[in-house]
Amino acid sequence: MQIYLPIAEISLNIFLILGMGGLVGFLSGMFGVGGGFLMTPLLMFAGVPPAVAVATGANQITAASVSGMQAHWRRGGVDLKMGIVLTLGGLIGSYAGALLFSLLKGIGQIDLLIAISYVIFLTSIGLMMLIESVRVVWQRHHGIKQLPRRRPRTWIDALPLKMRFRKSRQYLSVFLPLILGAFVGVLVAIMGVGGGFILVPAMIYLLNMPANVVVGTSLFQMTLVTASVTFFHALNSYTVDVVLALLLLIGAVIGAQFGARVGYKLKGEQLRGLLGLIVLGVGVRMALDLFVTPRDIFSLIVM
Amino acid sequence: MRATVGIIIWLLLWTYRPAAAAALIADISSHEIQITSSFTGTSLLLFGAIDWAKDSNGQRLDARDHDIIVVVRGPATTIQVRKKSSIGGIWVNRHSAVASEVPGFYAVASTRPIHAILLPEEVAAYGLGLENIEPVWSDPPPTAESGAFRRAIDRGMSETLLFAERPDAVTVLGETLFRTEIYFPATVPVGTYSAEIYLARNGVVVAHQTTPLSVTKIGLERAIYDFANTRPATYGLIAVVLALCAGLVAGAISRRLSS
Repeated sequence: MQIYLPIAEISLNIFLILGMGGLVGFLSGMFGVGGGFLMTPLLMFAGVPPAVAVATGANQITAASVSGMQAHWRRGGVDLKMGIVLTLGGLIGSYAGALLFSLLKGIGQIDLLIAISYVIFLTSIGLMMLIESVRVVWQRHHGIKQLPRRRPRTWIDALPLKMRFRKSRQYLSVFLPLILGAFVGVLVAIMGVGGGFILVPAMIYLLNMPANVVVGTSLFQMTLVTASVTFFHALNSYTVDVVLALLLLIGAVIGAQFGARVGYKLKGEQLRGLLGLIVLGVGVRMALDLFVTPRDIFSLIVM
Repeated sequence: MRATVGIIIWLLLWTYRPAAAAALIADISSHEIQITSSFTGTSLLLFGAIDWAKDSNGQRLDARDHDIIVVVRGPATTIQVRKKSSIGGIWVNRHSAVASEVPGFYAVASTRPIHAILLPEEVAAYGLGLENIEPVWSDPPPTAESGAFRRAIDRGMSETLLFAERPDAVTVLGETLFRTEIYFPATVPVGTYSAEIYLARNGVVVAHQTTPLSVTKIGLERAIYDFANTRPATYGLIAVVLALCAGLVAGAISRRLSS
């Protein structure tokens, strides 16, 4: 059953759209990532113009994130204070990212920047998560107990304007989550992703937040930042396809519920290992596109 | 000498004159393609009849000497062509060019290959066939590669079926009726099109007719498209609110189902 998408201006099989949404939603619910790193390439592969894929992807991540966030909220898994600070950073970052995007577009190398950002971030983070989870499993297998340690005191603790985040059991400078949020916001604007794949590990390893509030809080931040990015794209490039987004999110919210359930059954290191593998896979796939001789070295963009 | 040439030209014109009397009547099965939510591309039937005149000797012209060429042109569009080069092992979009005045859709169907039907001057004069699409480079490619960039447009557009050249797609029934089907893919651009029908004999066009055609979005698709383009702020807000509501509602539904 085909459906014509008014903004993307192509017709796609409705079950293909629901399936893509479901797959991405499943990952979103399971790992607390928006799944944009998968959604944007999937949409482009299905024939959706890149600009529409990025903007509509952001709109869909908003829905998937709010649905997942709500489930975590009920379990007390959202640190509201931390989430608001991260969001403020995210809004500043996404605005700066949009400016950077236009600047690089003018120079003409925006595509390369996007591709290289994808490859660098996805492969390095995927690899890190994979290695870390294998290490934890190995240590448990050999009976090596790792004592819970305090994060060693570094220059980070010397930053001013400290704030107490009760739920995250942190007392740290407000600049740290603000800068982290802003950095993720830049990526949201440039790569058309939710940024969860950066935010989640950063919250675990950099902010040392307890695992039970990491996913919910990152979903909170992503909901608001992708909402603002959607609005920004609708305003500037008219590339948000609500019909496509609605269909994707029907698939995604269903997938997210299943994903969340599977996610709660798995151990933290298993989750991270699995997510690491998927992230690494997409990164390697995109790296291949950079290195393998293309079938046609010419490509067209109808404007 | 001059007189001889003059006589020859006069004779040539004389022999061509009766052919010009053959008239063409053609139409399309629909003059409007409506893009609705179930639009997956469509074919239009283009048909017509040749009204055979008699030549100067009162002899009916032989239909076997004649050929039909049908061209459907879409609205002009702008296309960016990019070329990748390998730099340090990485394939980078190195050069790009922007061509405007490229038809967003171009389909040509004929009874035989165009070059077998018409003299090269005629083919060029009427702008028939893919090779006679002349893009205006608003951002020109490197001069040494302009041919390759030009061919890339044909290749890319043909892959998505927006360009089509089918030299055997016009069928002539009996000696007067002809028909062909023109396929419009789902990605067909909206706008005003023209369908041109040419009757050719002895290497020249003897009659032609142009008929308009339009591709429009209608219904909900049209409303959404217009809304997004005319009131982007409201549209953006609605898209966000819709996503938030749908996410919350779906979450609530699945919670009820699981409890």
